[in-house]
Amino acid sequence: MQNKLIYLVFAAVQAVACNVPIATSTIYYTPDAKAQCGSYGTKCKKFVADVELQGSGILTPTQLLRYTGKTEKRDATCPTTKGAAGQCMIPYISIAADARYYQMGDIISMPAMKGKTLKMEDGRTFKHPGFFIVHDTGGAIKGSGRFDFYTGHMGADHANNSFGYKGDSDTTMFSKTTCQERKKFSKLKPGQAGFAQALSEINKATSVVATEMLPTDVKKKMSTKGNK
Amino acid sequence: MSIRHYILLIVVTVSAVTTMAIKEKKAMESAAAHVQDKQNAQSTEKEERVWTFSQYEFGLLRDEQKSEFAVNTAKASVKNKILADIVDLKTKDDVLSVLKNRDKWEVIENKIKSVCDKKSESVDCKEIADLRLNVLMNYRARK
Repeated sequence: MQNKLIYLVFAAVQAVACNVPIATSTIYYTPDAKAQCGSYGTKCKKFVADVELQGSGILTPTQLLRYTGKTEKRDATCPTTKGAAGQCMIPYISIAADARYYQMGDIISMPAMKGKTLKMEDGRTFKHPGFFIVHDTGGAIKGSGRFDFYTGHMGADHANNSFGYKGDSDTTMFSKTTCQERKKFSKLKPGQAGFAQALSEINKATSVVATEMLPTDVKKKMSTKGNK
Repeated sequence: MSIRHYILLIVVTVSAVTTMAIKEKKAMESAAAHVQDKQNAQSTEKEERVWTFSQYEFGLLRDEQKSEFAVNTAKASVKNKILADIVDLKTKDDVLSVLKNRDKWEVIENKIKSVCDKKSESVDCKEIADLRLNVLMNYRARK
């Protein structure tokens, strides 16, 4: 019995990657101190633990806490956080990929996602364009089929996270051992046929809901500043 | 039943349990090996490597990232044989100047790719790739 358990665990650990072009997916998010600790500026245990796991979190509307423990100035015009190349991360659209195989700005087409209805943090919905943008990278994101899907301020257990534990079976992305056809993908590089059209479809899909994707305090701040 | 029968019964039972355990272990080892093979096959698939920034990707970067890349590339090009053979970049401004010219940078990018695709394990190619990777990794949002 013990042997069986050891070998099952061994096999499970080995079988963590899907065969390309099926994406090996996980999800990540930006924790928010106010949501987790009750107020901004507070480094409660859950927030710090989440920042250490995810990479970064919003300590105050103007400060970002990194997993290294360092704080840095946060661009208030970006409601989430900025990725490896400085682009503002978009929930359900931005992904982290292995930078050895992908350039920031590459588009990942996943046709099965097109038209899928996803919930935003506030419960409203939007139709996914079927495209993602590589905006980030990570130390544990290894391989050309490995992607980490960004879900804004929603953790995996958030009720409205369509990629999380409570999402529909045809939209969830949290499990890297679920290798399904719906996760079949292809890469579009800038300048390649279809890239501009994909970018336009992403912009169209996200512009409809852009402000609703943002946390309330940022929306207020942005509306007073007149930024979009 | 005599003591001899009891001993015989114990020996037979232990032997049967041991045989079953060995078979089970072999089956598990075989399954694990199969998964491992699949994994290895996948990792040896030809994957297109990115060796340096394209002008498009470089254009997305924060100003401090652009500066960091330019400084480090200028420093590396002194010792890095592959880089030195391809282009003469002595200063940060040399690098930034070439990167502003799409055609010039594309030529350099393609030459690096052509050489490093063939010598992917070389120290110089690893160093060239790291110039880009470090700039991205140091600013990533994901751990």
